[in-house]
Amino acid sequence: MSEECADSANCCGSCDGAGDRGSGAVLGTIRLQVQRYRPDLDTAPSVQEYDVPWGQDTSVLDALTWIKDELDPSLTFRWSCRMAICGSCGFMLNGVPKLGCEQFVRDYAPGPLLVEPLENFSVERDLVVDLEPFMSRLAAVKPFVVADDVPLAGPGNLQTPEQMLAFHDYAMCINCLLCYSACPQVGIAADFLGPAAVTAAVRYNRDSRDHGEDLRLPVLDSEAGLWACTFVGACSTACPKGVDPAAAIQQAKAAAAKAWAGEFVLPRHGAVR
Amino acid sequence: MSASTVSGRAAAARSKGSDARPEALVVRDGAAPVSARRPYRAPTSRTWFLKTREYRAYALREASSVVVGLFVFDLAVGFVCLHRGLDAWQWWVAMQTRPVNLILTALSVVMSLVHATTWFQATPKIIRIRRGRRYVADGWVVAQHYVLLLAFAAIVYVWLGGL
Repeated sequence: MSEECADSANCCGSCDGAGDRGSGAVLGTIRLQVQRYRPDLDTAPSVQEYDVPWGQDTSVLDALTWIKDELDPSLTFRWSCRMAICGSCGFMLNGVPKLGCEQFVRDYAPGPLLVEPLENFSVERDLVVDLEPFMSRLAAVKPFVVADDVPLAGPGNLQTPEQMLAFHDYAMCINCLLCYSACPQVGIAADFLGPAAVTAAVRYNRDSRDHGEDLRLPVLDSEAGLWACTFVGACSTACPKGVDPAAAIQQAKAAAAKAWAGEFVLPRHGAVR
Repeated sequence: MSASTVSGRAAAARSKGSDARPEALVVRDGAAPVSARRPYRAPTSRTWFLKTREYRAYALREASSVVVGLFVFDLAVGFVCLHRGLDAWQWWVAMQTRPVNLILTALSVVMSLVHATTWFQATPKIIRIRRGRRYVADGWVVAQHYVLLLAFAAIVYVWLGGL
């Protein structure tokens, strides 16, 4: 049994003292430096420190939950699924955007671990950021299959596996907004659509069932759309689902330039521009 | 829920002596809801591009174009001098031996390599070639750019008579 385990008041009691390193064993204590901001009390954010016991499978989200349960119920943060699919628990961990549920405390031991809210967003309280700017940008690109007026030939809007491959990788986005935190252009160009919204647009543009490309093009092909991206590439590095938004944006730039040139050569009557 | 309903409940709560209700949740009669929201936006640092290794690599890639741009400007001046006659051309040639120009030329070679290699490295993000259910590997896309560069360089070399 480790010294930390023996001394901890939070020992699960499951180990037999013979070097147990099972999932319940406390292996040490880490100091979490959590950014606090209470709009009703604070004028600016500050850092509060908590000592948290951790085990082999303690995630950063678990550590925050432990603080909320055991030390400070006023600590505010978002979470839901705890398995990297809901995209709620994005934080800056030592300055890098990560999903709290996906990161293990053991990888940050002995610490300290600085936990801050996602960068490039307004902080509402503690680790909770305002998602509204992103939601409006996402809605602007119509992230859904836009149907045309032609009735379907048969039951179901069918698609072959090859047709699905055209957009499959981009459909993996969980809107966790780590890419928005990683992207410096989101911080500098306030109106920038951002990586996830553009990726959603590309995902639906490539869907064989969709007919909304002309509706999305004016939003994408604008100063605050695709062209605010300077191809830093940090969005793709930050993405926890391997979506590669940087690729989506660059491909959308090529498609927008092609559409722009196409208007000179073969202008279309009634095109939405 | 209408505002009147909320204010009614708030009034009812007050009448029961539970005035401890947070101010933010109380909707006043005939007024807009009171909110305790005060979002804090951290300012972006002017030197954000130095923050991470990835940002620094990006900044170097972008800055390399400035050096290459200066070299192209120097070259353009050379063309103008060539057009203006022998004296101007000799002045420009003499200028190229100055330390500032030598440094610029050496720096241009380095930055051209940085610029070309980083952009070649980025091309697979734009060029995705699908063969059936698989994409052509990124390495092949990058390699074809180097092959094209070498082919173009060879053509120019031959065109100039092998220097």
